[in-house]
Amino acid sequence: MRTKKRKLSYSLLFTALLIGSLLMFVPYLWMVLTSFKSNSEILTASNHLLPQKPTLAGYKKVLGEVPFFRWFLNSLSTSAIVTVGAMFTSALAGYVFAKFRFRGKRLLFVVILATMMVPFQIVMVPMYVIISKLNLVNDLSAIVIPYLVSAFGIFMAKQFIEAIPSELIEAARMDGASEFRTFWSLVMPQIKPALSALAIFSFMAAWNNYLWPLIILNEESKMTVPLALVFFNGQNVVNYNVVMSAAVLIMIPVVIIFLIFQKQFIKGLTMTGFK
Amino acid sequence: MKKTLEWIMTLMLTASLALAGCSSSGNNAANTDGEGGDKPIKLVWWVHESPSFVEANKKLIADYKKVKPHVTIDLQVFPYDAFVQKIRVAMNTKTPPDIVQMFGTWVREYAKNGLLEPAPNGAELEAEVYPAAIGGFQYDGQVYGVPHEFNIENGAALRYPKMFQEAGIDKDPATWEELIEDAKKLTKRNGDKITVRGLDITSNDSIVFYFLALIQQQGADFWNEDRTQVSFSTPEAEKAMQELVDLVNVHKVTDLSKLGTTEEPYMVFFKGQSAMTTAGPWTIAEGINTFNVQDFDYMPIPSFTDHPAVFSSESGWGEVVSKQSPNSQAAWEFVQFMMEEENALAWNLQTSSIPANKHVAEDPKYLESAPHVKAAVEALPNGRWIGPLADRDYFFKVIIDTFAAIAYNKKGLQDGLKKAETDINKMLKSKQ
Amino acid sequence: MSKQQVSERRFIFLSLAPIVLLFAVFSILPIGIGTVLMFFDYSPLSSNVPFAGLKHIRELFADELFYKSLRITFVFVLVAIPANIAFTLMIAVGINKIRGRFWKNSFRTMFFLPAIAPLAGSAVIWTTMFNADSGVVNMAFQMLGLPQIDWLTDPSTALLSVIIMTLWADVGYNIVLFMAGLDSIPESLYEAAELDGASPWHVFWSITLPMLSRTMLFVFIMTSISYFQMFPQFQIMTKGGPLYETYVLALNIYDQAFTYMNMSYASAMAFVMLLIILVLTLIQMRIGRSQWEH
Repeated sequence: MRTKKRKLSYSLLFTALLIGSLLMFVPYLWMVLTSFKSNSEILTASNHLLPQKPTLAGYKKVLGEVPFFRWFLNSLSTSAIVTVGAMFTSALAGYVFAKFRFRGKRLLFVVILATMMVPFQIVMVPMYVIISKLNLVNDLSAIVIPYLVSAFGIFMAKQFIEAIPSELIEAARMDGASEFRTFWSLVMPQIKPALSALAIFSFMAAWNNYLWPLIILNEESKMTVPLALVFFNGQNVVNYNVVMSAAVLIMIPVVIIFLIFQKQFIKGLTMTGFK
Repeated sequence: MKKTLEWIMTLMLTASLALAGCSSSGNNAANTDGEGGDKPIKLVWWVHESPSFVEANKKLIADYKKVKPHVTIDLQVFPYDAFVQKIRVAMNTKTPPDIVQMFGTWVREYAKNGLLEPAPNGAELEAEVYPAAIGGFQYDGQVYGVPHEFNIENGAALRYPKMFQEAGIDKDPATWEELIEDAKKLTKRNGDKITVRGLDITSNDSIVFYFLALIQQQGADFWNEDRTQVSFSTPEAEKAMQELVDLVNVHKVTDLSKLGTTEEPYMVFFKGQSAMTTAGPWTIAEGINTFNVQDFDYMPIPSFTDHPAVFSSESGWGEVVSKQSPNSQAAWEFVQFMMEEENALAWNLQTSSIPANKHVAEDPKYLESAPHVKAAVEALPNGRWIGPLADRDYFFKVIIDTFAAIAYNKKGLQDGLKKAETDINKMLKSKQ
Repeated sequence: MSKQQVSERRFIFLSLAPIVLLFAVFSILPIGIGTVLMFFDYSPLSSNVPFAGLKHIRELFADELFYKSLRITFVFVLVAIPANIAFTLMIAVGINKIRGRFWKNSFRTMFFLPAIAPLAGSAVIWTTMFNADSGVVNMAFQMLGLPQIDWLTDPSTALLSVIIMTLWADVGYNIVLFMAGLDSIPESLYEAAELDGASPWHVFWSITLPMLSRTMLFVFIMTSISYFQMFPQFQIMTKGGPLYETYVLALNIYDQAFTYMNMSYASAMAFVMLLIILVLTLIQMRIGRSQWEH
């Protein structure tokens, strides 16, 4: 009796989750289906889920008339630099904060941590002012430089490096290794898992960032993917099949990369929550 | 390990160099010696997104290439909302666009802050161009830029003659009352929901133009004497706003479902969801080219009262040249080229906009080639410059929001108008 | 100083200096400038910056729209955060009960997938889905015989629509975090409860929830900080309308700063936002700490 009831509730749970996850998938399905609709079908406001006369016109427009690959490249290169930079600076600063003693260390660390709490809305105007004084408005480096350091990354790296026994580091120094050498070949490998988690985080944050690029980048050729998509959307209010085609092209590589690295991804994500 | 370090460092370095390379290929690559000659010059030209405008602009660039092959013009197209923000942000940097196709009403703000080059032939322009079209470009005795078009957004309406026939209407409305009656007949419903709007003048910018026009058609004005403050707490303003609200709540010839969305009234019209809507003549080109609609025409809209059907008009799109531009001379040469009568006419025809230049507009050749804009051309004498709005988009937004709040019964008519007046006056005080 | 100490000093200085410089220029200095800016009249169009005193702060307290956006922000946060946490916890517990790695992983992937897409892109897609005339949501409603709704243009449903979209886009993170939290609860506790014959409901309240309190606190703080600053979907889907029913503080600040170019006024508004987030985070941490002490 009891097992029967259990079986029933299990299959109920299973069905509920299945329906739920299918519902989660609807927007993607909609995006793909709409991308194959023709211009006139969209204009006549017809109520069909499936494209009546499937066409590749939307994709042709995206690949032919706008600098789509440029946008992709912009996003990829800036996100990659931000990721590498943030990993490196976080590990370095984390190491210094974890294993060295100097005056003002505690204060400095607390100040850096406190910047995490500050909403972006309060720094965006001054950051804009600073960037325009540096003459970097509409320059891709404006979306790279401010993100080369990460308070969260430093915090995480410090936690992990503190767990490395100090004797190990002392021993390396005794062997005559330079400070940087010790950091690079002893400390870095030890905190690899933390660094890969951080890499995932920084990359996602940089890739998905919308507000700052929106403020600081002007020209179409400088835009990153999310910004360009919204911009493109504004230019094609009427024929949003084109916008959906661009969205599909943007999502596919992201989804593939995610499916490949899924395990590391989820492991990294949980790590940021627990250390 | 050390190798990996070197490798990553090299990677980072090349990547940042590549980035630096990309960025300097933008504005900075422009030739700095502005003196024409035959050295290659690159001009950056910013325009807003509107398919027929973009096409017309591209054609001008192609034509100019034939005349001056060494000048490359880089056309940058922005959606309207982004355009408003981006020029504000970009004009005071060291690398602004050389030329901007700016909306006339915005120009004052930039001229006032010394960011634009005055036109070398200002006096000539003042004589040749309609006052409403040039008003926005004038500041402190100078003309900052050259208007392309007479921006007219009301006075005439797009409509489907077929729907008029189906509704049994055989003549154009001659009075406001007839207009409302016709609109009621044209409105189609499915249950409570309107499927075809009879008269759609209560979405986005239309509201503002109609609100101001209805005030003026009662013989009143919304400005004070020296045009520094507005007044919306007059009986005329109240009557005007009430009439617009009544279209939605009493006559029920339109609804609020498109308010504030990116679907402009003319798009709704060309999708067949309204029978009549006011829109500038430029939407005609959009309808024919983008929406593939042919069976519509353009009719005059009667006055709200016995007074002539006067209305406020903004200074439309026109070219300005940035003061910071290292190639301002080359930029002016291109602007002058655009304004040569033949080129200006071609531009106006392709965008179905009304020429700013009196010669061009009054040339019979023009109406011959663009018969569909007749209603708009005939309304031109009734157009008056809207006045120094300072922050144009704020001005419009306040009135649209006020209309929405009153139509949704969130605010009383008088309270709402009083609040709008206060907000706009505050902005005018700080920015005019 | 020994040679060792000298090289140590040099290392600390060389490695921290650039990092601290970046923090100084792009995090600390902006906070300072932002605070100072609200006492001036700064405009990027003009080069003189007159002193304005408390003008902007006085204006702020008289600004109906500021109160409105403050209210909308709180409504959004107070609905979306509990909904998010209840929803994600439920799904995480559900997925954890699924037997077989394949299905467990597949479900997790399906629920997580939206989280990797740029929020701005998702907002664009959802705008078309919510379109009253041609969107898929109204199509589904029509099929089910439900009334057609102007999702994004009706003042009574606009905020709800944005919340639905936000939940769709954002639940993935918390599901993964909760699942990891559930994994770390020792199996023995559940076995003991089963021997006692406790009901599943009782098990959830007396074992699962208390054991998850650490994860819960983390999830709660992170979600609150990010939801207070949510921006793309409001700007893209509704632009704050209709009737400002979706005009959150983040969008108001952006508009003031970059649409109307009242950068000083925007700074005053942002400062209020900072205070709110600071106070809320401190309260949450205090509550969290007292819970741990139990």
